[in-house]
Amino acid sequence: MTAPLPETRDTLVAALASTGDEARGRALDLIARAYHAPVVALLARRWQLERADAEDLAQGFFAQAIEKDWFTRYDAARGRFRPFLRSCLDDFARSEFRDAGRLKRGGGAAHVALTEVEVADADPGIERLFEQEWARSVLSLASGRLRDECTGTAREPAWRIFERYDLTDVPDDRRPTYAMLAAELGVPATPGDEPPRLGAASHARSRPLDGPLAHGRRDGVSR
Amino acid sequence: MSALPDEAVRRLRSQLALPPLIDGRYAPQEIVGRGGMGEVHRATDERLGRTVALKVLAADAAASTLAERLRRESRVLARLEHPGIVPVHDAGVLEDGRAWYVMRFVEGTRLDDHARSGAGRGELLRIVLRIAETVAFAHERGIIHRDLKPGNVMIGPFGEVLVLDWGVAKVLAEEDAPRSGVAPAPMPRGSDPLTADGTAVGTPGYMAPEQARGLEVDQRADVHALGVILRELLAESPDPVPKPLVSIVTRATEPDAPRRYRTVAELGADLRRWLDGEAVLAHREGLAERLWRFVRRHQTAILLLLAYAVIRTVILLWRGI
Repeated sequence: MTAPLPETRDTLVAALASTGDEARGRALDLIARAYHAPVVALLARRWQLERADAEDLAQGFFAQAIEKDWFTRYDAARGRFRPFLRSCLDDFARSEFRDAGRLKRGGGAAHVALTEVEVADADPGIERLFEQEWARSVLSLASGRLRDECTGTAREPAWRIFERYDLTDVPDDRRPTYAMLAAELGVPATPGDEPPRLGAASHARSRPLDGPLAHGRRDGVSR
Repeated sequence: MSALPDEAVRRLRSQLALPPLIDGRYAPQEIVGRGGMGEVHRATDERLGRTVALKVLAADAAASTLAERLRRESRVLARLEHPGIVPVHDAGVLEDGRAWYVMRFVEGTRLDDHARSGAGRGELLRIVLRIAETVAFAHERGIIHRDLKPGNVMIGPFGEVLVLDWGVAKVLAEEDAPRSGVAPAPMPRGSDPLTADGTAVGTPGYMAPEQARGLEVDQRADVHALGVILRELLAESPDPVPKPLVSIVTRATEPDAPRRYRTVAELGADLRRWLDGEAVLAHREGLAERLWRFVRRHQTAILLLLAYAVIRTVILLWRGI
C-alpha cells in the first residue's frame, strides 16, 4: 500500500516568487534536488533515452527553468505543483527534440517519431514511475537530513533503530524486531510492545516528513 | 544520503498513511484492515496502556458520504451494548477532516474462513443462532444492519461471535422501530442519507430483493441476509442437509418479504427448535419425519428401552429352553 503523496508546500512556492535572492535560491535548489531523480527517470523512460542523455537533458531543464523563472509562474490556485512541473518538463523536452528534428534512441542509433512519444503519454506506468521516484527522492533527502540532525546527539540511538527497522531493503517478515534492536543497541524496552524509549524511533519515523523541506508547511511532504 | 531501496520507500509511504497521534492519546502502530470506507489500525491507547482498534476514514474520503457512514457507524455502535457487538470507546475528527473512532481490538477469524477450517455443522448453526440474537438485539433498538455477510462476522479467540461493520446500518424512525422497553439514545434519524438517491447499500448476493432495488427495507432484509449466510454454511458440509434446515433457509430467503420470517428472532427460534430436536415452524413434517425426529430426540431413552427389551427377551428365551 502506498500513501497519496502530499502537496508541495505553499511557503516553498512563495519562496520561489520572493524577491529575496537567498530564499528564492534555496527554494530552487531544494526543488532541483527533490525533483532531479524523478525527472531523469521520466525522461529516460518516456523519451527512451540512455541514462547519461537523460541526466544531461534534466540538467538543461533545471538550468532553463531557473534562468527563465518557469517555477515562479506556478499558481497554487490552479492545481498542484507536481503536474505543473511535469507540464514544464514535457514542453521543454518536446521543444528540445523538435529543435533537433529527431529523437535519439540508444545514443543516437535510432530515431523515434514524436507521434510515437505521444502514445507513451498514455502509459500509466510513466505516471507511477514519476511518483515513485519523487517519493524515493523526497524520502531519501528527508532521511539524510534526519540522520544529520540525530548523529552525535542523544537521539542517535533512535536514528539507528529507525535506520535498521525502516530503511532496510529486507521484507517485513525478515526485519529484526524492536526488541532485538533495543537489545543490540542497549536501549531499554518493554517486552511485547514498542518500548517507550523507542517512542523516539516512532517520532523519527515521522521526521522525514518534516525533513529537508521543513522551511514551510507545504514545501515537501506533510501529513 | 543515497537513494532509499524500494522496500524502504514502500514502508515509509505506508507509514505516511498512518494518522497522527490522535488527541495525544492513540498512537497508530500498523494497518490491520482496509475497506472501501477506510482503514483499521492497531493502535496503542497511551493513557490506559492498552491496544485498541482505530478506524479512520480514507484520506480522500473526508468530504464524502463515507464520512457520514463512519460517523454513523460509531453512533450506532455506541448505542448497541451487547456481547456480540464490538464496543466503541472514543470518536472524533482529525485535523484534515477525517472521522475516526476507537473500539476494542479483537483478533479473530472471519466466519467464512472459520467455516472452511472444518467447523462442524452443529457449531456453525450455533454461530448463526448467536448472530441472530445479536441482530435481534439491534432490531429491538430500531437498527437494521443491512450488510450481514460472513465477512462481517468474526469469531473471537474465546469463541465469541461478533457482528461487525455497521456502517450502512439503517436507523428506523421511532414509530417504525419494533416495540421494546428500551429507549434508544438520541441520534439523527428520519431520512436515510445513504440511500436518499435510491441506490442500494449492501452486498450483492446477500441483499434482499427490495434492498437491491433501493426500496425501503425493514428487519426482514437482515432475515434474508442471515438466511443466505445459513445456506452458505450448510453447503460447507458434505453431508445432505436435513429438510427442516432447508425449509428454514427457504423461508428466510423468500424473495417476497411478507413470506419470510417477520424477524430475525423468529428465524433464530426456528433454528433453536431444530437444534433441540423439536418441529420447526417453517417445515410441515410427514409422519415418517415426525417419527424420525421423535426417535432422534429421545434416542437415549429408546436405546435403553430397546436394550432392556432385548435382555428380557434373551432371558425369557433362556428360561424357556
